[in-house]
Amino acid sequence: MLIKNLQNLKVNKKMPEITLSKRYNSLIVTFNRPNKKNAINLYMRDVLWEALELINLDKEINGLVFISSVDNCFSSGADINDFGTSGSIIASKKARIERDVWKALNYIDVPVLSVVDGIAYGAGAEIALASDWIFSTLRSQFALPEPKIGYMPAAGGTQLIIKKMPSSDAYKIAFLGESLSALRLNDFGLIAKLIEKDNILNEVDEWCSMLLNFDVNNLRTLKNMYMQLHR
Amino acid sequence: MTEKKFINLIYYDKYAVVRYKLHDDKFSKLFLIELNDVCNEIKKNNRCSAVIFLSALQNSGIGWDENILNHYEQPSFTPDVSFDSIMAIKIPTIFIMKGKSFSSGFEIALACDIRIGSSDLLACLPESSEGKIPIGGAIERLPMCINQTAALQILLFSIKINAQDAYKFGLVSEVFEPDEVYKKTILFVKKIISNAPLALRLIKESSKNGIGLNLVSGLKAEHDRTLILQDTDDFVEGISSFVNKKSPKFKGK
Repeated sequence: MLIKNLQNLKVNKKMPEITLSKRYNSLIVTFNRPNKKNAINLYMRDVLWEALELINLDKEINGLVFISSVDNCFSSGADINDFGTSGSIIASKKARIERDVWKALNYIDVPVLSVVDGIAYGAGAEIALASDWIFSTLRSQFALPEPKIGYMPAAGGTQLIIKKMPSSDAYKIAFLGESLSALRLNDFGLIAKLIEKDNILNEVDEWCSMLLNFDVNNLRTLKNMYMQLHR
Repeated sequence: MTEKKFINLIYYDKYAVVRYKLHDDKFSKLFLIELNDVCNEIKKNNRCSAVIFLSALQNSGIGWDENILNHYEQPSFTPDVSFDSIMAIKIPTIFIMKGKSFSSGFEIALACDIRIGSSDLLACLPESSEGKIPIGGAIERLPMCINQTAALQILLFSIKINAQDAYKFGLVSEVFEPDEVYKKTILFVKKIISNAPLALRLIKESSKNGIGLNLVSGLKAEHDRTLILQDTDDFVEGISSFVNKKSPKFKGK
């Protein structure tokens, strides 16, 4: 059923900036936009929405993994070219209400893993922080650079940093707009595992395989209960 | 510049520095009244985008004046020892923790957003070891600043933590040598104030409010604040500068 559902998704094969695939029963979302450092455009965000909808529909899916095919880059954040394209503040608000990708991601009821190698800026950092686990290489850097362009994190950044990090570093990353290293996040227990770049695919394989040891309905129930209490 | 008995407030280009000088490194009633006045003055200054607090002496502070300790439990006690006036400042607040930062000297730092440590820092809440309770907001604020395990060790067992530990726990975000800490903090703050001032205020507001909200409410409130910024000149300036690879010139509107 999972494969059939993936084939029905409107993923444009000519523009594979974001691809969906399957590993065991986990859905793998791969960012693949090397010439734009995996900047997340509206199309990618729409596919992400579809992926989250798929997880809600297909109860056999037991995990969600975010990964990048671009060397030294998880994501540079939201595509600047899409900023201000909604036409009006009301249109922007309406779009957010009707299709709140960030709320959906933070409340998805399967385990979520982000595998970060390289830069995770803006929405890239927010996707990682929204995940239940982050596996990271040592060279990774996490930043919320929005105040440098007169803006602020819009995908949950201001909420996730203050809930997940010691406050001084949370405000540091938010006010400065500069990056924190994977090592620093590791100090706070935010990195579940420091991994080697050459071993990324094995790590993903192992994690997805590990999920098979658990009853998927029970996993989803547990995560739902956890989210109700703690999110 | 505002010069009072215990506090010296100087405004620079877009930031302010609050230096306090206390007799015996102890926080008195009069000092707290002055601190409250200074914070209220800073709140009214719209051209200021960040404020630094530090002691003018070697230590951040080692405790409370006898007057405060003797009168604390009386119902008519004033002024407020909770440093709420610092918490109410809407721009980024940075505290330099240095030397002995005990009791009040520790608690005033917790009221600020970012803490920078001097390598000679020794921080402690000695109250528990003296059969007392911290009165400057540590019980409420410390667990919000660092992880609960470390917070409880500090609160319940009065452990002393040095600069290295403070950095590891996330109590401070940077550690510098004593003779460099002020200069390096200024450089740090100049980086902050180079960013859009309205964005800084809304980021602080969004994060602070998020502490008490569940995530879904916080996400919604955060998005509403981004809509405010989308309607500003600074947002247009920021995007345009990014696209054209120039340094933005933010005006705070």
